[in-house]
Amino acid sequence: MTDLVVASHEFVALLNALHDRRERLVVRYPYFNLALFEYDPRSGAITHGVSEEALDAAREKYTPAKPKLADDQPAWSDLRDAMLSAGLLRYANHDEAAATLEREAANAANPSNPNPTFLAFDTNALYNRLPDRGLPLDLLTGRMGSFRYVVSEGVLAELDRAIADKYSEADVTSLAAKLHEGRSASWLRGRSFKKGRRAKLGYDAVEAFTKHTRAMRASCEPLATDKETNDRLIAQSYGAFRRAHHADLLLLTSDGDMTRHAQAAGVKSLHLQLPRETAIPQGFVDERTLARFVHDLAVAFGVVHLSGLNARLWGDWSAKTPAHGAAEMLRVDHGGGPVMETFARDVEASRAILRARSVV
Amino acid sequence: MTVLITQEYASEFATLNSLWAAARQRRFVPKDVHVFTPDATTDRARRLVDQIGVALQALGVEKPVIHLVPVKIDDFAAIRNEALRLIKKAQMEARKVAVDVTPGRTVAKLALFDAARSGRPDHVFYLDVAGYDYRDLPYPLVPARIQRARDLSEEGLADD
Repeated sequence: MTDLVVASHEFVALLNALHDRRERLVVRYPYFNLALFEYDPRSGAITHGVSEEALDAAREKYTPAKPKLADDQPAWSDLRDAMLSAGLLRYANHDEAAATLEREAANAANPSNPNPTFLAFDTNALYNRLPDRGLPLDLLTGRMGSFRYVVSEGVLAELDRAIADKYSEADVTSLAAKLHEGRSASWLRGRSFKKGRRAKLGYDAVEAFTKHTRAMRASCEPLATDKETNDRLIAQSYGAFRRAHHADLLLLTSDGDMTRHAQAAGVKSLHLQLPRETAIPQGFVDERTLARFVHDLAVAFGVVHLSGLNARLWGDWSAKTPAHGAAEMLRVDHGGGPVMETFARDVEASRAILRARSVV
Repeated sequence: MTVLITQEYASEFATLNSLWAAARQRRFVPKDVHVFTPDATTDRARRLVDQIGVALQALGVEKPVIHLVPVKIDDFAAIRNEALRLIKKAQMEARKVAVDVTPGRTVAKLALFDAARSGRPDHVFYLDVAGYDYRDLPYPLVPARIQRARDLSEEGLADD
């Protein structure tokens, strides 16, 4: 097997190699023996998207008994979140939320308003890449420029805590006995659990938007062990920040309970309702969105296969660095063949051309 | 040995991507490239030579030959005559020759086009790209779906 590490935007080169040979991209989750979707690079359309029901059935069949490993198996919510973070789906109340943000932005820009307005993010908003990809208005320019930004240290601690767990030898043995193609589960040894992989995505979102907006940090009490207590602590940290800075603050969250915690802490919130789709939508998807979807899917699921290409895309690997995460990179293992060889050669040539550009 | 006559432009990707598209979509892989440029001594021109070399090597050309051809960029007659001379030379040597009218400033493009009308090269390429979402990226990183390498010699150019 040959391996290369590619950024999500370079994935377009693979779609082009398929396009030239009139072939389709077929993405599978190997450990459930399940085709997730197909994509035709000539029409730009997704077809044969898996349904929630089919994913649930496969999950039930292949999930190990050990609760920690059972929780770790990809679920419909992971697939939905990958669609949401990539921009394939929007929040159920997207238009209403956009209108609220527009109003808040206009209020923040009003010179007669003496208080700065901060946008704050709940952990789930970071998992869904809301600040750097999903906001309905331009984050860095235009009216969104009138906001300031803050992230609670509690949110960062929650992300950090999720990254700790890695697959042990015993975990790999249990998975190998239950999963389809279980023999290849040895690849997982020493890699992060799903929660950790997704938390790294959340960190990437924080890094990306902090860099551009100089977002402030709201200090937070040390976290407890249960989620509800932590949600209250995070809401309270935003409440304390708001009072200390004599500021208006709007917390963006997709957790209904968090909106109540926010209210109790004296913080306004905007509830972003999760989409209710029960299958991957069919139809046109532009290549950038598709590349992000494949990236986020590979991170959430750990690995996806490309049928017919003898290729695996890894969202996590032992040498993955924060820079790889920030650049949305995947590791690709493949067994050669014309499509994968063209892909590798084109990526290398594109990098050389872009490098030459940056030198002069 | 196939010959391509093309131009330098503000964005190198106009030159590079059209060449790449002709190779991928039209199976015309040049081994000998003449790049018209207002100044062959600039870093930009030298960089374009390197970049064309990288693209051609990715397309399987082991030792591409790339010439910078200095021209006055607004001198229609001079550009036309030089392009026509290169077309005729390639034809005399029984080599396949193409002119690319995608990159370049308008007068220079018209001059190349006029040379193509007179010289009747094997191909006259033009790269159609839908939209502006993927500017400043090399051909492999722009969806093939929105890039169409046209050969104007197949679209009535030779009928006049």
